[in-house]
Amino acid sequence: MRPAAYNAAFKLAGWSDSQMDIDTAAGCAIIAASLILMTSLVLWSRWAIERIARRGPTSARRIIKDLDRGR
Amino acid sequence: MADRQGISSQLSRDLSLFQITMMGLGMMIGAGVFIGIGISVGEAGPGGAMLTFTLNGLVALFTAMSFAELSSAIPRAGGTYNFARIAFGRGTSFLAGWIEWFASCVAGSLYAVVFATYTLRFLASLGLLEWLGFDIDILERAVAMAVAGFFLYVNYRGASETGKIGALFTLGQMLFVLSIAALGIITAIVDPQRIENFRPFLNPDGGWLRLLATMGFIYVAFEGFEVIAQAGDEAVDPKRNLPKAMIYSVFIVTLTYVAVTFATVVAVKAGSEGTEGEVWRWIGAAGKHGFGNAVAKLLPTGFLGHMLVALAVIFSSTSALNATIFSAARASYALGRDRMLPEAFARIAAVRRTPWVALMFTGVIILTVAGLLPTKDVASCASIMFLFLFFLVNLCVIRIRLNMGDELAYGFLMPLFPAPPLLALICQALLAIFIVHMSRLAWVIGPLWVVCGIGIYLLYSRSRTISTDDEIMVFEEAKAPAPGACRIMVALANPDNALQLVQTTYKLCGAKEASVELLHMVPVPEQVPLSDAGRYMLAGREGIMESMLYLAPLYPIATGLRYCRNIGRGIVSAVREKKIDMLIMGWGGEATSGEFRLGSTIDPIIERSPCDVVILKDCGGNRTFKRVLVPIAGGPNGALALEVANILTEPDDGRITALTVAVGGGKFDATAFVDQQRQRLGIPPQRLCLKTVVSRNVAQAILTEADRYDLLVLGATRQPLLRQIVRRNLPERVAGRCSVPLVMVRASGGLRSWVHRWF
Repeated sequence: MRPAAYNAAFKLAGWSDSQMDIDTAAGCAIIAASLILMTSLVLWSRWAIERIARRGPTSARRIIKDLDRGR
Repeated sequence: MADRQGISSQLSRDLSLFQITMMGLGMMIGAGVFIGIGISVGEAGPGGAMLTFTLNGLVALFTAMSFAELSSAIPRAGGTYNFARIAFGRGTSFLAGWIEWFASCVAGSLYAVVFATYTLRFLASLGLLEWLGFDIDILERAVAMAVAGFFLYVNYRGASETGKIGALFTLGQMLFVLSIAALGIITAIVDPQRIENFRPFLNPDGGWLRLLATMGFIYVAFEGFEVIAQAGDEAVDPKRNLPKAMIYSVFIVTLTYVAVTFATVVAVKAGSEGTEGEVWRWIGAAGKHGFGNAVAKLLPTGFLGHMLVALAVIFSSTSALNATIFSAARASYALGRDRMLPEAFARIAAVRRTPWVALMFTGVIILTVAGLLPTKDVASCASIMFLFLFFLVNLCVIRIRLNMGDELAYGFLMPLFPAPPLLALICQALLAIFIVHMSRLAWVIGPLWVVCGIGIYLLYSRSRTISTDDEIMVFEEAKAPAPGACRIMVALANPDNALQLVQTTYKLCGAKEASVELLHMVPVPEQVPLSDAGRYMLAGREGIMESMLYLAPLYPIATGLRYCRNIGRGIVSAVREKKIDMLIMGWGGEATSGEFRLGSTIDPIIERSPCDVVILKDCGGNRTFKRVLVPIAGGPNGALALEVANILTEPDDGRITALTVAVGGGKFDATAFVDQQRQRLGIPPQRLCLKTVVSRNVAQAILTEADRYDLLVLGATRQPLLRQIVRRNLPERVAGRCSVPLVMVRASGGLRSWVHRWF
């Protein structure tokens, strides 16, 4: 038995009358989670690169300390 | 780079962020995806194909972050070959160059095959092939070899596209691919019934396991961002732009691939003319033509669709083929230049100024693979080689950060280190294993190439390689005549204090029945050439001679004088190489700077040495220690501190006090710990006692107590490196303010020591 919200969400996305199987649910969740993780990593990296560039490239130790302060 | 007249000369930096991002995108959308989509839909199912590209994108992003970090710190042309040399030395760099050469060759073969496949498919749609009456398979091979031969000649002529033209070319490719994605999304919105094409989401025969096989097979579609590292000498603001370009290009290409795969699946209306059965099976059955067949249905007329797809693939594959031939020839040329392969590989054509021998051998590999191997095996082979190459890069980033993090100026540091490269390593190993389900031949050819490379290195390259400036060099070395079970190294950083240090370590060496290694590391500035490094040796040699006068009659002793660019790294390297059990060194007690706790030399040694470390401060001369204080909080460092204290304390009337500071709520059972250590070390009860003080300020309590003793023995912190950097820890705070002689110890053992033994 699958939650009703489960099917409702997929009807909204265009799935017709039938229920969604577990592979589809897991697959969609993995795709969404991976894309969100990738977006976060890209945004964080951009922030870190800009912050390091403003202060000038330096050693890993100093950057970790600085980034930790800036978070 | 300064020339002989002292005039500075370097390549002009005129490649912008946009251009280098486009360079990476152009290489990645290099046709691998066009044949990969159809095959992966057939193997993994429609949703499985989307998962394949998404998860591969994530793994590629982790690797891109490794490349980005390394390129920001070492922004020089050379890429993986260069990183491997700095991280692991000449043997691994040879292997990296060797793999890179073959990986680029096989990728070039793949692009030639893709060009042939789609060109002939377009000609077939016009009915020309039937009219000519050729066998399509033989014709495909012949066209692939012809186009590869043409671009080999183009490379021999020295023609290459400039950054701006290349960027425009890639922009055109991107626009085409994005318009396919947009058309697919619009089609799905207009006709939502086509979402049903995703049912079943995964291939019912094999499900999730098939996914791993297709991920490994399609990984070649994410190859290409690493060429951005080659632009280090020509990019504007490379420390900022190289990492950005790598990360952006992988992100953009992942989104594009996922969208294009979605468009391919929804492009076909179930039951429409020319299709039969389930849509995904129809696309999969067409294999490498699946993408083209499906996308042609997105456009109003089949002919227009076929033509646009053919044009896009022809542009993508030819530009990628040209670039991979260039890259492969450069990799083998570099191996020849550094004498890792016969010098003939570095021979330059007199008129064209191109490496013709390297190009010739590159051509032989490309033409053989394109002419003989089936497409699926070529793609699998290219993927497996790039997986090996990226595996090496992820190892390099870990090793370089751990060993040289304090010496390099980084423009980017990846978050959550070392999780991304470790995850990438695990995933890449898995994908490489699962490729066997797609092509057994790839699993024969790939490892065979690596084994051949190792053989060539051992039999040929190792003895001929040109040494490089930034390796640690041994100047003089005398081996110990009879090494004991335990090996102690005494690092004589300051020759003036050598004698004091050795007199104190005398007791430790005696108690452990150890053989002793005296090491003097000579830091030579970057500006000083190796030929002049000898002048820095004199003081160190004197220090070692003096120390030997005391130790040599008593213990098996070895000596070493080494040149290095960084003392800390040099000492850790010597400890690893000689499998040392205990390292002893002195500390002046100088004030610590912001980011270092005990100093820029000692901190990395404490963090990275895979052996027990003993740091001595003011313990020189013929001092005797009758009252010794050992603050304890459990753990291996506390146990080692008690052991060292027992050795250094006067044997007859010396007393050791184990101190615990109760701050309330602690769970540490000091009595049990002391009893356990007393038994382990065989210390009589009257020699070791336990004292507990109550205080909120632990550091101050230890310092106040220490004033009444002759010696303070402290265990170093075992907190993770990140926390150590961010916050100075208790032992280091006490050490910095302590006025009595001090010994700080850090015990080896556990996962961290194992990692440092190898990294």
